Formats: sequence, structure tokens, C-alpha cells
Amino acid sequence: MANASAWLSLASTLVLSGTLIGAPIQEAPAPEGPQADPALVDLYVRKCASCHTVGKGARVGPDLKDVDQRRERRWIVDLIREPSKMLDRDPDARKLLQEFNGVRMPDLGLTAEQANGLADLIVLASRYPIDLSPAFVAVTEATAEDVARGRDLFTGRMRQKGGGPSCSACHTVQNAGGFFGGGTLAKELTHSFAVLGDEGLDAALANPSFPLMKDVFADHPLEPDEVFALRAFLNDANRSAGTDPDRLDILIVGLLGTVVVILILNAAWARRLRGVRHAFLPKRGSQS
Amino acid sequence: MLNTLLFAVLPYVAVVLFLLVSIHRYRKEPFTFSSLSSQFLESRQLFWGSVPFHIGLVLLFFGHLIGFLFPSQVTMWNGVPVRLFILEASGLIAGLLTLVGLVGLIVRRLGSARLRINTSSTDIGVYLVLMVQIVTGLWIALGYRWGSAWYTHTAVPYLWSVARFAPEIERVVELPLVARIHIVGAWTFVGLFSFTRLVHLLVAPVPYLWRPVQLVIWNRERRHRRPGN
Repeated sequence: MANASAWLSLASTLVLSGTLIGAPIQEAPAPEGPQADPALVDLYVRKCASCHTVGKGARVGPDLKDVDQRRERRWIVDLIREPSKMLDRDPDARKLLQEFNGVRMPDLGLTAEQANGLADLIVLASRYPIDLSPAFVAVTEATAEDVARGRDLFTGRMRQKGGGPSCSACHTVQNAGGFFGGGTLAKELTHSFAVLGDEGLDAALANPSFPLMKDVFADHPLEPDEVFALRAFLNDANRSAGTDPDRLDILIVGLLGTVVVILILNAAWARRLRGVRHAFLPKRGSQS
Repeated sequence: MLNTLLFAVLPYVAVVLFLLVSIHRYRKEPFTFSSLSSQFLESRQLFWGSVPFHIGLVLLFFGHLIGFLFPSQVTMWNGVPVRLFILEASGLIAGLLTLVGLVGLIVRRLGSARLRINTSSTDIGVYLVLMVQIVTGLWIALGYRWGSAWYTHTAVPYLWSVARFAPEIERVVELPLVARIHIVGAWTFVGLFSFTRLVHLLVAPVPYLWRPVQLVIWNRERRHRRPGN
């Protein structure tokens, strides 16, 4: 339905443009392209813009401009809706996967209607100037306070407004976490700014599409000012990275702690399960 | 399909088994509702197994429970790196105590003929499940730190979704394999619980913690009390 209405809208605009071409020249504003559905634009910015552009070059995934001229409509919709299946089975999708360093497009949990709408939007944005980039302020404008705030958000010293977990729960950055370091569940992020770039990092933080992170942050999205502070911090971390600092090894602490606890238990409680009789029998032996 | 089976079906099978079998066993076989203590068969090595094992396991149980009940407070606590480290190190010590205790109990059981005779196949099952849980738990603590911080945003929402009868398995299916084994092991543990000597947990004599001390003293050797000896 959304598909039909978008094509109808596109056709009516083209007809309208033809009418204007035949009309006498007037002081009228240049004809605008068809209006994109704001809900679809929002969906695209949240779900797609972290990895794709339409006409601004390849990012994590390919540039989607004129994708309808390279692929069949059904293929596009299927890939948007169920990328994991397509990447497992479809030879063209697998070829793209190889081309883009094996970074798999995650399943986005979209309905058929949403996938069709996004396909329409990509076609529309390929023909007309529709802005699909998220609002963006480069970190070149960040101050030292922004960097410090980003560090506090990263380590969890400052709680995120949405209540999400601190980044250091899962990630490590060389100059954060002090003597203890960050988490090792997910990737080390010291040079993430260099790898993803400012815009890529912005999209990755604002609308994470990484497997575990997307589910965790679906309920606790970062606010734009928090994303900015984190980008500022990660930029600083990338620039100031040196050798790995000394960290306190939790295994050594754990082993020492265990030995200490066992010694304390032995000193305080060792006789508890040995039975009173054990103590009495030697005494009795010495008396007889 | 397998994920649905392990993370959305197994939990309910395990909990139903836990409830029904526990109640049935308590009603029909009340005298088996015990730890079936082997202290009278061997008590010298028991200390090195039982005490660290029980202390470690109780701490781990309450650690997981607190994270489940108060995830937001745990996240706040972990906001300061040194506090996060203290919590993680405490959890690791509890895990290592449990491991030392369990290994001690297994060595003790294997080393005594009297204990081997009194070891059932369900006991072996309990040892296996507990060993899997402790090893995977320690692996997570050391290999995928900081578990206390990400547990409250992955496994805890999953556990609450199971409690609401709307399991959100996507919360955990992307976790590392060792963490998924730990979760499946936990549900297996719950399912096996009521078939084993672990049921003593349900009838733990908690008031013993504060009741007055009772000393039982034998002042004669037992053979003197037996007529004819």
C-alpha cells in the first residue's frame, strides 16, 4: 500500500513537472521533489544511516543511490527485511558481504510495510534531493569539558539519561577506567574514532546496530548531547593513545583473596565439622 | 529453533519440574528431603570441601539475586570503577571458593570407599552441573569482564521477561557461547534440583543461626556403652 502510494506520488510529481515545462516562463520557485514521509525518513535515519548513504558514498555498507537500477525490487525488500537469511542464501548478497569486509547487516526487526516504505524512500532519495543524514555537529567544536563529560559517561561515573549501561561495562579504552580498565565483552574502542570516523561513530552511538548493543540500547537510547560528548572523548582517546597502562589483574586479586578467606576460615572454624569426639579421644588415651 | 527451545521453553519446563516434584517429594517421601549428609562417614576432609563450597555458593546466589532484583542500584554502584572492581573481585573470590570446595568434595568422595558406595547417579549429575556452572561463571568473570555490569542489561531483562511469560530471548542469544551455556546450565540446575539432595536448601535450618549453642558431649567411648563389649 505504501509502495503504491509512493509510486503514485512520484508519478503525479512527474506529470506536474511536465505541465510546468509546457507552461509560459514565470517568476515561480523551482519545482520541488515529492515530499518524503517524515516517519520513513526518521526510520531510515535510525535504522540505516549508520551504515548507508544515498549518494554520499559507501560507508560500512554500500551507497544505496539507484539501487533499484541494479537490483530487483523484491531482492531489495527481502534484504531490508531479513538480511541474515539473504546473507546466508543469496549469492549476490554474499558477494556484497565479501566486498564490505564481511560486516553482516543485522536483522532490524522491520515489518514488510516498513521494508517496502524504506525501499520507496531510497528510490525517491536517489532521484530527488531528500536529506537522509542525521543532524550532526563535528567534534572539532568539542571543548575539554565535553571530553571530560564523555569520559564520565564512558566509565559510568555519570549516568546516561536513558538509564543505559556505561560503555566500560563491555568496552575498554586505553585512557579510561583508571587502574582497573574497561570491559572485555565487546570490542576495544581506543581507536574506534579512526576506524568509524566522526559521522560513522555518531550514527553507531545514536542508533547502534551491533548485535548485543542494539537490543540493550533499544530501551535506553543515548541523547544527542551524550553522543556528542562520547565522540569527543573517543576522538581524544584516539589521539592520545600510547602504550597500555598498568592494570590491576583481577585474577591475582581473586586468587589472593581466596587464599586469605580459606586461611581465615581454617583459623576460625576448622574444628567445626571434625566432631567433638575427635578432640576427646586423644585426651582419654593420654589419661589411661 | 534451538534458541527458542533453550531460552524460552526450557525455563518453564525447569520451573514446573522444580515446583511439582518438590511438593510431591515433600508429601510422599518427607524423609528424603535432606542433604543426606555423609559427615558421619568422613568428617576430616569435609571441612575443606563443604565450608568453602557453601560459603561461595551462597554468596554467588545472593549476588545474582541482588542483580536480578535491583539492577538499577547495581548499575549505580558500578558507576565508580573502584566499586565495580570490588564487586567483581568479591564475585570472583566467591566463585574460586566454590570451585575449591567442589573439587575438595569430589576428591573426598572419590578417595573414600564408604562414600563411593553412598554416591548415586543423581549425585554425579549434581557435581557435573555444578562444575559446568562454576567453570563457565569463572570463565565469564575473567574472559568477558565486567559481568556484573552487563548482566543487569542482558540476562536480567531476559529473566524478567521469562517471569512475565513473554520471554525476550534476543536479550541473551547474542551473548558469548560460554554465557549461553551458563544460562542453560542454570535452568538445567533448576530442573534437576528437586530430584537431588539439593532439596535440603528448601528446608535449611535457618533458625540454627541464632538459636543457643547446644553441646553434645560423649565422655565415654561408644564400645563401653554397648552390653557385651
